Amino acid sequence: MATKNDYAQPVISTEQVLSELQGCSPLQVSKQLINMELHDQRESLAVMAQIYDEFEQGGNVTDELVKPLILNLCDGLLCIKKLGLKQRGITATRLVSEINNFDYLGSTTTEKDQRFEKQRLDADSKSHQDDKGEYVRTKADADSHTPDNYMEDVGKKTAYTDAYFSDKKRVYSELEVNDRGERKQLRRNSTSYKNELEAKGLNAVERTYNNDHNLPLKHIFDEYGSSKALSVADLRDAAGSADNFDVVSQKINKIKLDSSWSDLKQKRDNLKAKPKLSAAEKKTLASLETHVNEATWNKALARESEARTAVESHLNQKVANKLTADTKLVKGEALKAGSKAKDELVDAGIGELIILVVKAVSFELKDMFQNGITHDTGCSSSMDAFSFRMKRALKYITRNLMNISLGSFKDAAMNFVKYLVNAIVDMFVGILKKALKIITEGFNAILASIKILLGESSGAEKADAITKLLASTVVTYIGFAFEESVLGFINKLPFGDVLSDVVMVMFTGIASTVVVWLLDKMDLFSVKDEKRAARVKEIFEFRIRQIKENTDAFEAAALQTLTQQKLQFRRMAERMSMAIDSDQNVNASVYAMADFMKVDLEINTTDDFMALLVAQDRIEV
Amino acid sequence: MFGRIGSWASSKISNMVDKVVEVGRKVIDKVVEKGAKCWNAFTGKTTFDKAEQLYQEITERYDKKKTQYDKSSIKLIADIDKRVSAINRFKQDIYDVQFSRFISLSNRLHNVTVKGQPFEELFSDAILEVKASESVGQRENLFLIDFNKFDLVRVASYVLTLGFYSRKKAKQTLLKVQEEEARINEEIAKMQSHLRQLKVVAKSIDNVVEYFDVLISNYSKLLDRFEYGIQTQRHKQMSQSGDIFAHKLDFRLIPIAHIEEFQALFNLSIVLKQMANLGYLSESGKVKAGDNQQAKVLFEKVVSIQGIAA
Repeated sequence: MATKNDYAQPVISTEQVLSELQGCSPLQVSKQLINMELHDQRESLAVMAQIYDEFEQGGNVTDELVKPLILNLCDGLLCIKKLGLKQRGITATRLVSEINNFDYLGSTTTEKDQRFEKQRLDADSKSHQDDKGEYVRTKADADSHTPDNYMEDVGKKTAYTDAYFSDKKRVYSELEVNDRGERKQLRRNSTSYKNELEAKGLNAVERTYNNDHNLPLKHIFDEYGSSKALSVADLRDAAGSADNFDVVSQKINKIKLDSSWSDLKQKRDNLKAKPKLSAAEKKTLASLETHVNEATWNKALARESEARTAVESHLNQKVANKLTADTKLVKGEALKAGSKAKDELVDAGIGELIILVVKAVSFELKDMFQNGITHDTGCSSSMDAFSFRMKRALKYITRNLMNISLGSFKDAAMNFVKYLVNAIVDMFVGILKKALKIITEGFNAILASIKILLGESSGAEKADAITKLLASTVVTYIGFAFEESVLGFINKLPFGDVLSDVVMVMFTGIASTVVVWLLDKMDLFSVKDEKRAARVKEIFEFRIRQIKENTDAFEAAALQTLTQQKLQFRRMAERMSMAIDSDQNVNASVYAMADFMKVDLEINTTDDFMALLVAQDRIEV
Repeated sequence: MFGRIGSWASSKISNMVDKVVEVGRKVIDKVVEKGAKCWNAFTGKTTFDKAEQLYQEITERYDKKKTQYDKSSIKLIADIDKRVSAINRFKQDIYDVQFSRFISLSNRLHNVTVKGQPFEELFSDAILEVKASESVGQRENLFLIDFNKFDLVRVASYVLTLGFYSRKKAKQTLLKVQEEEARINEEIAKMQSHLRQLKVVAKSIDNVVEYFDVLISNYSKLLDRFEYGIQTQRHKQMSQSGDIFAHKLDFRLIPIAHIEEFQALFNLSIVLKQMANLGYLSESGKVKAGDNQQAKVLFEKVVSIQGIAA
């Protein structure tokens, strides 16, 4: 980029103008004054065009896109676990940028790899899963060591049934509707009733009531059991919420078994879509189609979402209560988060140290090859220069050790907070948990955004930086979403696990490079225009200031000279006039005047003049 | 009676209806106003309006300054022109009156010639005029979007791009106008600088006019004194020699004071001649009359003086 001096005006000082004016005849001053250029002859439009050119040169696809993409590919290769580089935060992209931008005056900062952070966070979340052992349905089946670990609260179930029947013999099913929109009638089970029905050739199973858990007990146990803040008793309590009970026919309950309604619907849809069905599958589909019509499906699914809301809010309330009441729980998680952050600190610290050494040393090597070994060292012999270089590198490394450790400690502190928050979030369940996850998953992005917002750049620059940050974060997360589904098959190949990691790192890296590049090209917030406008302003202000300073200097010097000359002339002319009037010799004042006007006279004395008159018959002026 | 009550009631009702309508209109106006504000911020029209206002402002400022500059510079240049004409008259006077008087007077003593002719400076505005200033850029070159032209497709495009497109164009427009403002400021600075330069030049040419005026009057006074002296000497020498028809006085016989006067006039003539042969603003001009040879000598002389002066 051109420097400001490329647009500079010539600088004119008062002294310079004075010396120029005083060096010439007073008769020539006007001409001098006219010819002085107080500013360059460049037209302001040309200056503007030059600044525009300067900003349009910038685009270079090789530097902007090709290089980063190649580095993304290298990143993929470097992330192979066995190399042990990844957990130390060493990537090809980072190494290259550190080496290229190295300079002894700068200081070291630490950086974060988004994808890797996400992987760590997922691993962390996995470690928060509570193991509640085997699913046990009834109290009778409970293990003698853990007598409270069973899921069915018979008392609540009976209470719900009794309340629903309230002395009636027949009730309507809560979900089942026939095609005419009539609800199905159900009765309490009894041997006499069964016999009565069988005598009529009717199916007792279809007409007998069952009290069904809308969200099945096993489903609740599996889905919410991973929260450390919840005991089996808590889950049992939630499963026994009134909203989770439906009085339905025994038939439907048998079809549904341990699946939820949405699982069941999924199962039906899958069977329907399948081209070839086995005999058993055909039977299942037929039974589903006959016993559950569209109206029933709608009712059941609506009821399920009510049940889910009730169960989740019950459980989340419980988690919140425990978190405030049970200090041990939080303390334990804090300790774990602390030790995790500490482990990472060690890894990251080693990584940063490696980068620090590599970049200082490679700078010296590069400089030696490019500029010669003695370049810029002040040494004459190569040996001296070499040892000077090594010492310089070492000095830089020791000076920046402190920075690194400070940076790593800061990271570790942030990681501690992040892991603790994550542990707490993992205790919650359902939609609330998903919502809270945004905080931990976007933790780094949020921190970085805050840092950007507090920075000193303009509004548009901030918006631009945050958009790019969010875009690359989102791309990374989209990559994770694809990881399981699309790249699942790679795992089946030999070295599949290594390979899928490599492919994913490459994929997310390339995707976020491209997205950020595109955003840069689109320049949604006109950051480039803003920068150019600032430059235009700066340069014109600079030029205008110079014009004014030049004019000031010019004016001051010129006026001083003109006044001085006028006074001097008047004094001499006065003297001459007096000499003429008083019949004195005028020659002295004539010579003085000629001298003032810088006119050379060849005749300097009266004797010379006499000699001239004698020598020449005709004199010429 | 009922008629009166009826008309009273109807006037009350129509008053009330008016009131309701008025309130309703106010509410609608308020909603429209707020809505327009949001819409304008969303599409970038607010920014666009700012750009328009600034454009208007800088155009006005530039035009005003340019008019001022044109007026002042024309006046200054006319002043300078007047002085150059005065100088030309002085130059002519030096040759036509002063030198011919000097020659005729001194010829009674010694043969004197003045070669060359006065240099009449041709005043050309070109030396003083600033280069054509570049005015504020054309509106269509600066404005990348125009909200004043309503167009359904355009409005749809604002919405479809979430306003990003039009906001960006509006911002770019504002930035361009701001850049133009910076450039215009340079143009204005150049004009002001040039005016100050012209004023200084006028002042300097004023000095030159004074030099001519005063020196010519001194020269003329000295010629008077010289004439008187020569006259006196003629009478003296005539009475002594009795040769009434003698052409010249013998310079060896006259008092040294008159030789000194002759010397002073001779030297002062050289000074005046140089002054009459110079161009003060530029080299453009012509040598008045005289043959080519003389003109050439004069030109060389001028060049050499300039060489010394420079």
